[in-house]
Amino acid sequence: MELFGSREERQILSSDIQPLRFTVKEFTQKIKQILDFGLPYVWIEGEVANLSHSQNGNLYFSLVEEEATIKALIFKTDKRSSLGDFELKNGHKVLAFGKVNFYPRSGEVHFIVKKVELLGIGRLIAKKEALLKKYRDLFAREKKPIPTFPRVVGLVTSLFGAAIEDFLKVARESYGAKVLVYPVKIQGEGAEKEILQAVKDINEHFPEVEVNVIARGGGSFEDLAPFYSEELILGLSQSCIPIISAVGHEIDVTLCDLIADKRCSTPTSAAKELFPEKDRILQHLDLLRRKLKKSIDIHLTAYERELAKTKVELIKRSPQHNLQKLETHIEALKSALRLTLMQRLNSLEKKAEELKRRLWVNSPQTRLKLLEERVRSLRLLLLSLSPLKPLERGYALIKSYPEGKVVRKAKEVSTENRLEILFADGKIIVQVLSVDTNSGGSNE
Amino acid sequence: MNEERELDLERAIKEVERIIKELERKDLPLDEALKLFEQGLELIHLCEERLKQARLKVEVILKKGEKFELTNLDLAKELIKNEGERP
Repeated sequence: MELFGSREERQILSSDIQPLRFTVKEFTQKIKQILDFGLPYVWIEGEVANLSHSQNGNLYFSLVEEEATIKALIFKTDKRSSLGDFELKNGHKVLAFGKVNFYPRSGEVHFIVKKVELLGIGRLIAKKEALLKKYRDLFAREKKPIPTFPRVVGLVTSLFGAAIEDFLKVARESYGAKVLVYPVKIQGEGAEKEILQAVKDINEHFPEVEVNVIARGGGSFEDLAPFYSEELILGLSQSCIPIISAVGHEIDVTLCDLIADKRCSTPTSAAKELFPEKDRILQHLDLLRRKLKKSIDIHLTAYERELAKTKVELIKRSPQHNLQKLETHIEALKSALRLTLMQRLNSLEKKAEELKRRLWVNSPQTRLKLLEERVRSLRLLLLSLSPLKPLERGYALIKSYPEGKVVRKAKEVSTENRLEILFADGKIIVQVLSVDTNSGGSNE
Repeated sequence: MNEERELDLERAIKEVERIIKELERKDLPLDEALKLFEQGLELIHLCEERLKQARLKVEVILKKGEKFELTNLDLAKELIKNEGERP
C-alpha cells in the first residue's frame, strides 16, 4: 500500500500515461468482477472472532490471523449445512469453505461461508460437548474413592516420556509403594486402544493394583485427540479399579479427565495425590502419637481422680471412721442431754424456791407471829379505846349497884339507889341522896 | 518383602485413628484404654519402621501374547527400544 502510494504513485503522476477513470459505481463493479473471477471457492484457515447472531438469522463473524482479518458470514439458510450440530464460538480455529463477495452498496468484502470444519481444540471441544451430552449419565455416575497410601499403583504411560520420570520422582520420596508400569503409546493414532487394553489387562490380571494412573507429559494440544475418543470413555467407565487421569491440558479438561475418578493436572500432581511425602507421613504419625498419649493421659487423670474419690469414700465408710462418727454423735447427745438436764434442774430449783417461799409465808410459825402481831396491835387499839381511859384524866364511870349497868343520865337514878363510881385508881360505892333532873351539867 | 505380610500403611493409620477415637470415649474401662494405647503405639512404631525401610519398587508389565511378564524399568526400556514398535 505504502509502496504503491509512494513510488508508483509518483511514477504514474509524473508520466504522460493517463490513468483509467471510473465513476464509483463503475469502479465497484470492476472490483466485483475481479473478485468473482479471480477468487473462486476457497478454504480459509483462521480463528473465529466478533461472532454475532443477526436478527435476520445470519451469522456474522471475522476470520482472523495475527494482524489480518476478513469479515465472514453464514446465511441463515446455509447454517445447518455448513455447521452441522456444533455451535460456532469465538476462538474456534476453523477451516472455512466459501467465496468472497464484494458488496458495491457498502463497499465491503465478505467471505460467504458454505462449510465450516473445526480445527485443533475447537474440533475436540465440539466432539467433547457432543459426547458429554450423549453420555451424560456416564459422566454423572458416582466416582470411586481413591485409596490413600495404596500399596500397588498401576501406571499407564509411555516409558519414554516425561510423565513416567515426573511420577516416579515423587513416588520415590514417599512410603515405598509398588508401581506397575504398563507401557502404552500415549499419543497419535491408536493410542486410545492401547490405553484401554492396558486398563483392561490390569483389571483382569493384576488385582493387587489399587489405583490406575493414566499419565501423559507435556505436548501439543493436537496430541490430545485419543483422550477425547468415545471408545476410551466407554472403556474406562468399565474399570473396577479407580482411575486417576493426568493427561489434561491447560487449555481444556479432556473427556478422559472427566470420566476418570479423579483428575490431576500433571503426572507430578497425580503422584503427590497418591504418595504423600515420607516426612509428612512421619509428621502425621507423630501427631497421632501425641494424640494417643493425650487421650491416655486423660484416662489416667480421670482414673486418678476417681481413685482419690473412692479413697475418700472408703475412709468415710471405715469402722474407725464410723466409730469416730459414733463417738462424736454420742458426745453431741451427751452434751445435749446435759444441757437439757441442767435446764430442767434449773427450772425445778426455781420451782422449789418458789414453793419454799410460799411455804414459808404460810408456815404456822409465821402465822403465829402474824397473829401475835395482830393481837398486839388489837390490844393497843383496844387499850386506846377503853372506856376507862378518860378516868385517868379525872372522869369517873358510874354504874348501878350491884347491877353494874352504866348510868348515863340522872333520871336513871332514884334516891336511895346505890351506885358504883369508878375512878382511875379505884372505886367507891355511894348512896344517892337526891335526884334533880332540871339542873345539871349536860344539855340532856 | 512378602506382599501379604507387608504393613498396609493406610489401614494401620486408620486403625490408629480409630483407636484414638475409641480412647476419646470417657466411659472406657482403664485396662481397655491401656490396651488400646499400647496397640496404637505399636502400630505407629510399625508404620515408622515401614517408612524407614521404604523403597519404591517399579516393575514394568510386558505383554507376550496372552501372558504377562514383569521386568525392571531399564530392561523394559531396552527391550521396547529394540523392538522399535512399542512406545
